[in-house]
Amino acid sequence: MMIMLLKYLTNTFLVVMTIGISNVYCQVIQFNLATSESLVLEPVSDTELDFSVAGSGDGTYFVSGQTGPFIINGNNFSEEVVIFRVVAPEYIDITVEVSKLSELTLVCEGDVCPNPLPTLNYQLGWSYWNEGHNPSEPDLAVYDILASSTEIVTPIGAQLPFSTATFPIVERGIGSGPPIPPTPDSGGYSSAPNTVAYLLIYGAIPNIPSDKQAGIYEGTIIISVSVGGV
Amino acid sequence: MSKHIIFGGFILAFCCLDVIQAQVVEAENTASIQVRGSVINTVEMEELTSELVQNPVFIPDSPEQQTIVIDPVTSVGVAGYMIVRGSAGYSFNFQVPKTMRLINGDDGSSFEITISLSYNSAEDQASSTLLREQMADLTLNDSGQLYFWIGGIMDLSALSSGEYTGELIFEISYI
Repeated sequence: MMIMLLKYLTNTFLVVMTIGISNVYCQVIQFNLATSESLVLEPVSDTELDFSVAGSGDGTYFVSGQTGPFIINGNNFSEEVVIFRVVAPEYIDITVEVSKLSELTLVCEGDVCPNPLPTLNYQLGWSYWNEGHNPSEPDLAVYDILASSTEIVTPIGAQLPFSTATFPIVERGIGSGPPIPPTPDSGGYSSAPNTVAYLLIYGAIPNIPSDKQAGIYEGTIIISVSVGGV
Repeated sequence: MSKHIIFGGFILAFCCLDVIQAQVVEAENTASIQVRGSVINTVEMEELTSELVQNPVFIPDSPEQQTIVIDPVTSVGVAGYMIVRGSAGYSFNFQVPKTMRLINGDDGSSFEITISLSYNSAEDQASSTLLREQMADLTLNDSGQLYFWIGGIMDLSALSSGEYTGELIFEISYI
């Protein structure tokens, strides 16, 4: 009778162990964060990228028929570059996707609008800065971020509706792999300090066609940041 | 021996649970940027003009009728008809008074007509849109035209006989 009971208990634990291992396996694959960690994406600058500053019209508009490209990047109208900061544990890699949700589309002010609404092509450009920065200190000067960022997509090239890149949130030496995962948090002790990386979003308008309808054109860019290759 | 196996099983099970409790929180974050650009057009625009093709016709159906109503959308043949012309696809501001006053040339008496309008980018009164405001921003169609139908409400109850005239002034200007 005693032997039968022990066998029963052993089988029960084997089942529990199988479930537990299955969950641990999933966590390792997804490279997610622990409860005490987080991935924060927040703007450092104004979140409006206004191409009009590159236009000939007193920095407030384009004149139809103007030949471009009209570029906003680290070298041209850099004050318009939109900058976000990513705060996350310093041991992780992050995947960033920058995509156009829509082309620049005419904002129709009348009750009767052209159908379809006219659009204005623009090209995305973006880069990142990952040299490591303490999140409790003030953000770096925009000039410093721009000067040593790594460009993923140049705004003068083939038009891309979206672009994705994965990189360590703090750059590592050439040939070095990812660090050993930190010891899990315990008793209020966290072994993975946070760091800051910056994302810089910009772009260009290739040309303003001469028959382009006058008005304000607006669009949206979406930035998505996730941990590792998730 | 069996007791050792059971004890080992407990430890492993709790380790696993500990790891599971430290599971994912915010592993993804998203933000959006507004992109914009303003364009002006140096192409010379055609002058904005209007042509009154037909006046609204207020005729009572019988001598007893006290009020005449012309619906700009449904009153076919009696609603006034006007065309605004300009540069194709351009928007303009349109203003119309809510009422107009008609004056009797014989005795100087006067009365007001309440004005109502509808518009359409196609030359089709039945599908035209009632203009509910006195001021609106509208856009000319691909041919540079926008069509209007004019109606209103006239109260005949206190009118004296005679010839009445008045002026309805529309204001149109490019935005």
